[in-house]
Amino acid sequence: MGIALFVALGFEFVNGFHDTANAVATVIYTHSLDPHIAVTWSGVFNFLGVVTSTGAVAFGIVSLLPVELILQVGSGAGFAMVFALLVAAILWNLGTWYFGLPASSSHTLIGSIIGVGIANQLMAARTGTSGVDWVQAANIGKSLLISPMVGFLCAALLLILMKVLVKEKKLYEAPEGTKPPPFWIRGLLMLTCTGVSFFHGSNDGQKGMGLIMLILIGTVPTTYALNHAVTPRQTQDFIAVSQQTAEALNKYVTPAAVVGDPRDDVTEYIRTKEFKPNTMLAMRTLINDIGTEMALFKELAKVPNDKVRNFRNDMYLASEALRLMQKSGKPQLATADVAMLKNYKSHVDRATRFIPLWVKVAVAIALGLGTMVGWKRIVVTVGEKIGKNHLTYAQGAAAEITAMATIGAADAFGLPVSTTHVLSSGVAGTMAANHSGLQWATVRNLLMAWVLTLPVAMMLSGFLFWAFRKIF
Amino acid sequence: MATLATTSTSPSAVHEKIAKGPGIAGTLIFVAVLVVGVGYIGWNLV
Repeated sequence: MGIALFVALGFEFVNGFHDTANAVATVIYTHSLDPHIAVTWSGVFNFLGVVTSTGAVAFGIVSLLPVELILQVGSGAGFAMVFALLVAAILWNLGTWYFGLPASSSHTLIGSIIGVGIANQLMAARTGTSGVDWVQAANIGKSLLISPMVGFLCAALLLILMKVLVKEKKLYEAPEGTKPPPFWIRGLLMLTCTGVSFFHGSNDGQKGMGLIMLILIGTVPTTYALNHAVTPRQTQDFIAVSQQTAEALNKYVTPAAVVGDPRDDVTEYIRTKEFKPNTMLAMRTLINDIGTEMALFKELAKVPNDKVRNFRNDMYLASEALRLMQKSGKPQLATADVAMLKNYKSHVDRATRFIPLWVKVAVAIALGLGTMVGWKRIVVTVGEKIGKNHLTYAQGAAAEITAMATIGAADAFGLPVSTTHVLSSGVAGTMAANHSGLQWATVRNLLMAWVLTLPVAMMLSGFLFWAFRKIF
Repeated sequence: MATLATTSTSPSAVHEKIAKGPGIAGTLIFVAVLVVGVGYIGWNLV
């Protein structure tokens, strides 16, 4: 467990090298803040972002992993998956950082997940790639097209708008010596730096937390598989809701459905995403079983040690299957039943999807320390190797406002955009709008790294998964 | 430090600031966060 946690925190540490540069590059190059103060400031707000996060993104990442590996996370296959994902992501992030290329850590992690999914399918000798979440790959494809365009155009338009509205000449000239910008634009730059840091922590920063929880569940299931903070009263509610939900699902069961092992049928549904005649019967049976067992145990803290893992797995399967049903709209359910299923899912998620404060603090510290160690390379690329001229105050503000607006919009509307790509493209956009010229060699290297991130991460993690399966 | 095969813009005062180390205060903050963090994680795991 120690090694696995060390590697997982190492992933967050390297993540800190990359992503926080998005927040501090503009404040450093506009002399709004001293570099070391900017990095510490950003680290503090990343920390606050991670600590106050809900963990929803962390578990969203976990749900992309092959379901059969999640269910056996304490086994050799489960550890091979976690190590392959983390080591592949660390290697690509370190490689791009070494060359000062701001690549997306999220794309790297999702690429690694897809790589493990494909390798797992191939090693299980299954035909096709039904266990791989290709929607995520498609989202990254969209992001590769959308992010640079959004960053470039929005930041360029914002700079042009500023030029029309604000006639302060020195905003559009390179800083003289170490002179900071006028008070209001300095405040704006610090505000956007703070916002990008906080939102990064509350979103991207928590992606490793889901993997850390998997490691803990695999190694110490008695402590981390079920949420012991669920009260007896909430447990009683859960039992009642389980019975109601099982009864509600009864009317959707196909008459010809045959009872098999409900866990196998639901696992197959999650893996293939194909709703079969047996699926609803399996779901109803599974939900009924969970409710019966819960009534027997009375409290989550009292679940016998030898039953914890299976009980959690049942809950995980029920929650994931309900998520898929809601997402796909198949089968069509009455509005009242949809509300009931949502209520049931919230009970199950309360029992299984929790992140202890110490895990959040550990991730936040790893991210912050990574930022303090590795910020320079990416900051220098963003600050001075994209455009041919020094970043002006207005250019810094336009690029950073665009980045903060994008990360906020991505959070609110679930847009497939990368903050890293938006900020780098934003700086390029302001350079173009200012007729400063671009350093095409850097632009070419950046684009190549962005396009290669997904396939390289996939291949690396796929290979590592295969290799680790031989070892574990 | 490995760098991209590109030319950087005119040297600026930023370079001097970036080249400077974190100083004693920065190093102390780093070490303190590291020690407290590792201690906190260990205390929760044991």
